[in-house]
Amino acid sequence: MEDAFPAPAGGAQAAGDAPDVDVIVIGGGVNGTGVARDAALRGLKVALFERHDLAFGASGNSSGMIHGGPRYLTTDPDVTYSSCLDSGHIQRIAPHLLFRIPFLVPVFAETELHAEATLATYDAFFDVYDRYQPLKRGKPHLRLTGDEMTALEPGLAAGARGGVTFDEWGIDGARLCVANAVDAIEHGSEVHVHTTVTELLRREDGSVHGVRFRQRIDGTSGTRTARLVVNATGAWAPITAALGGLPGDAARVRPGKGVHVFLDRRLTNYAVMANAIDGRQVFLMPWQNVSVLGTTDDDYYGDLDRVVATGDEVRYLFEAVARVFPSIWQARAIGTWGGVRPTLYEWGPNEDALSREHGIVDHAAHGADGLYSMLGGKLASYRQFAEEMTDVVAKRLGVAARCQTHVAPLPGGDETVDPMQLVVAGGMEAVTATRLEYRHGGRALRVLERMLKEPREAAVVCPCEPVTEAEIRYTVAHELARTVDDVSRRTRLGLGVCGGARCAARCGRIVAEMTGRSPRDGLTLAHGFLAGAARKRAAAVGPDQARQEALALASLRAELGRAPSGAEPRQEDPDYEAWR
Amino acid sequence: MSKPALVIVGAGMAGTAAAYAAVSAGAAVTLVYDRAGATALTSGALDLEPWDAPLSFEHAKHERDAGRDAELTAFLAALGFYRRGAAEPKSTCVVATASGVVRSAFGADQALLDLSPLAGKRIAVADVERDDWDAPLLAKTLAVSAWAERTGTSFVPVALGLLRSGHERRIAPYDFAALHDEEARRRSLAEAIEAAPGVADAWLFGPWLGLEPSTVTALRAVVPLPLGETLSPLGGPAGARFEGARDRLLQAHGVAVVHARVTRVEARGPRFALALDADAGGAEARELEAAAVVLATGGVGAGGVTFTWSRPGVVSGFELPISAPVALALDGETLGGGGSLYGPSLEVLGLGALERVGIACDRLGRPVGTNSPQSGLFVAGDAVAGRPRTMLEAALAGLAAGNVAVRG
Ligand SMILES: Cc1cc2nc3c(=O)[nH]c(=O)nc-3n(C[C@H](O)[C@H](O)[C@H](O)COP(=O)(O)OP(=O)(O)OC[C@H]3O[C@@H](n4cnc5c(N)ncnc54)[C@H](O)[C@@H]3O)c2cc1C
Ligand SMILES: Cc1cc2nc3c(=O)[nH]c(=O)nc-3n(C[C@H](O)[C@H](O)[C@H](O)COP(=O)(O)OP(=O)(O)OC[C@H]3O[C@@H](n4cnc5c(N)ncnc54)[C@H](O)[C@@H]3O)c2cc1C
Repeated sequence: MEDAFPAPAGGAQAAGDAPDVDVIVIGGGVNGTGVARDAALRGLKVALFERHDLAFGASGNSSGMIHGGPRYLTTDPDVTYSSCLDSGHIQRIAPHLLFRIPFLVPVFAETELHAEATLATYDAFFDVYDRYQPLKRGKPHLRLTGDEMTALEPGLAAGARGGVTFDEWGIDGARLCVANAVDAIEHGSEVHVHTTVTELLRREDGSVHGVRFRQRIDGTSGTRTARLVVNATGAWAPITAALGGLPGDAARVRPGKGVHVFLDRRLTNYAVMANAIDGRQVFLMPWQNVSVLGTTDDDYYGDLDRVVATGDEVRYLFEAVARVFPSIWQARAIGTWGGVRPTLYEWGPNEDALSREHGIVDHAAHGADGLYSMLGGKLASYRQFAEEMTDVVAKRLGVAARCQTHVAPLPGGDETVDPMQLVVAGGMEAVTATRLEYRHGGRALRVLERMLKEPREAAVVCPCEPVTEAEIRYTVAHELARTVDDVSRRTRLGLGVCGGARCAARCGRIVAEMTGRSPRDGLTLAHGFLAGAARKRAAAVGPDQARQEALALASLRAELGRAPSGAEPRQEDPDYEAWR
Repeated sequence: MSKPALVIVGAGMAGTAAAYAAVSAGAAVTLVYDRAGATALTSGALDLEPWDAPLSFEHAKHERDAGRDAELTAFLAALGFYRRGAAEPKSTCVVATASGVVRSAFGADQALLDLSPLAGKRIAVADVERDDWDAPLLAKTLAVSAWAERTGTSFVPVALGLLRSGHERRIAPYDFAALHDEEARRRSLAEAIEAAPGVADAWLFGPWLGLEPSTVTALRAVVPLPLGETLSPLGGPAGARFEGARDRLLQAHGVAVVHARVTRVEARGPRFALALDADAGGAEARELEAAAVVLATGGVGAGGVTFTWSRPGVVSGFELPISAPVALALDGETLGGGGSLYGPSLEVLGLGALERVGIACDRLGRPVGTNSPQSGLFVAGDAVAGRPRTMLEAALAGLAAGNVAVRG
């Protein structure tokens, strides 16, 4: 291959010893796992480091929409186009993970005339969006009368004068990251979870040739060298750059916090849009087996490792949605997500108006050759962003292989499984089978295989979701789950109304057993999960959930005690105190 | 209109103890309650704070409780279903949870397996193929508990075929326990134990040994080894067994029981009037009169205190759903006139606020923090602000309130 960018003198390989791998990727969100997979499919040797768990950051806490971004249609149609195109690709490679989300935009104008004007604007707007819809198998929009709106969604507030529909797709962002990481592993990559990069190794000439890392579960540390290093740490990007001594503005993003509230069941048939008090658009949407209320967008300067929704954010969303869906006041909030968008930095425009376009920074410009940062981006366009980044890497390393990620199915996306097949073969209940098939696609058969070999593993450990023991073990054995939290991120275990009271301790012991730890450590994992989940729920607890929470507190104290190791008095567990 | 001397509201541990103390002191007692509270959902251990430390009655050094040891013992005996630790008065029970935690408790439901006399022995964990039960994993976890390691006690899973259908894998523990109240099922359970290899000194079961206290007694009569349950999960059989024991105690002691919701407790001169809602059984809304009242209405978990958002005519916050001359308090402060549209900010207070909130009382369970403190009104159990939420606290507070209400 002809290389337009030959490696500069003193570049990645100059320092003698052969590097351990071709590329180190820092960050296990969609962008990091996306690059790892793409590079691995092109035959590169990759090592990925993730400080917490895959999808711990924005990728596991987003609205989960693989949408074409109609909100960028007027300001940034390129974002809309690329998102729609990639939405089509993602549907092709992971059909099991996508679900259609039809949106309703009701119009409640004061007068008929006003309503007509608004509807006409929407109509024209979505006429343009409809042109992009075929890229992602979306249906064209429809304009509806007020009566039609309430027929479709009986819970809408009275007085809708009409509205429009438009079509989007949803995904489980955590599962998307996991699928990418698993495929990278199956193509020869190393993926180190719970392993934080603590330093970027630089040569005398300033070039970056590896990382120092620390394994957070066992405390070990070490170094790994590479020809190139990709910083895909999302909102953490500037902090990661600073680990190599780079200046603060070398990988700058504008961190935009967003929260979601989830409610105990699917309350609507459609996703319903509403305007918040400041005019921002928010939504109430059925998502998997719950409803999700989202989202906010505010500058965030807090700790990225502990992003938690506040009561103010939760109530802002309730107030907004209540105007179009009044019975939201009676709904039961059972949790929140908080995430921070790694938006491209720009001073001035308010958070909402900032573009979600992405950019790659070559830190040669900062004297740190061999290091690249991926800034910005969206879940919906992660594949394309990863392709662009991997193109740069491949070119630099002289690799001719082309990107395959738009056609090569992700694990589980290559085979379809009928949930009824799982019911018949494994004796699973229909919901268990359907949820399993959603999460794993064709690989649900591998979970089934476990159950057939060891019937005990067919036990439903988390009855709310539901999640079987076989699936928990599968996520530990094949999907890098190392804590109860990790299992929960992959399966939604423990996120139902009971908040993990019925499953966390059991799951913790299973995880501990499989990872060579003692059952007592397993109970500690359960405590950690329960405390974290309680912290996330606290801001959203309302009248109906309060009683359940009080009972769960008493029940968990009886079951697990203050700390999980028997009848001896012991030190206070700080997490437990937070939970109290 | 009837004219009982004392009306108790609430039939959990606190209300039951108050009724027992008051009838023992010679009063005529009516007990009003409307639904399950924490006691009916409880796990079966009788605890003091801190729950998981080795305990003795000495821990309960509330001035109120001085000298109540004998009374407590008598009450538990009358209830007939809770026992104190094996060697009176200091020792405690050792109980196991289904998650594999071993902890001490001041006492426990008889159906639970008390591990304290089994130190150093070999205990079989019944390996029953229920979805919510993993005996091999549980045995492993119990074996590495601090207690088992210290005492050299071992736990082994032993297979027992108790299930009659796949359905029984998944039914709630409560329903599975209920099956063993039937004599035939109970007998086959005993036979299964008999047929199991004799490798152990005792049997640990999940919370399945009947909703009737008599079931476990009958089993013990035929099985030569000690046997019993782990603690119950929320809403398991331990609460049901409490309710059975309570109903028998109230009946034996001639307490009049009324199933109704109390909506108002109002002072009328030196006496009280209680407003009772119409009930599902067809009884009309009515009033009761009382010389003294004990509120043993439980906390947020029982619905004795509610959490509200602002709506027309209601200010948000914690609320006592009964109108009564008492004040709610949280962390030492009296509540009222909420400062938030959406009630308390639990992300600031911590979810534990749901357990700390309650009626403001002095050490004797007399309401404080209102303009017109009412003599003759007492509060006990989870309903009290800032007290430990334990069965023993509820029992002691109930006994104290019942006594003071009658004797003054
Ligand atoms: C509220 C919200 C809603 C959103 N909704 C949508 C949507 O509907 N559709 C859409 O397309 N996009 C959406 N987005 C945007 C999208 O989620 C993000 O742009 C995308 O997930 C960013 O992925 P990432 O991999 O760059 O970052 P992240 O997912 O944040 O990943 C960065 C990772 O780096 C790790 N890390 C940090 N420091 C280190 C270190 N030193 N060593 C090792 N690892 C480290 C972190 O633990 C983290 O896991 C939303 C975002 C938010 C916050
Ligand atoms: C799941 C769980 C596990 C627990 N485990 C343990 C344990 O292992 N050890 C331990 O020591 N403690 C445990 N506890 C705590 C213990 O159960 C409680 O502290 C205790 O039962 C409180 O008893 P109480 O009588 O004060 O209240 P409750 O039992 O809650 O009784 C309240 C009563 O008031 C009645 N009531 C309320 N409002 C009205 C009204 N308006 N009109 C009429 N009646 C009304 C209700 O019907 C109910 O009968 C546990 C609690 C729970 C929920």
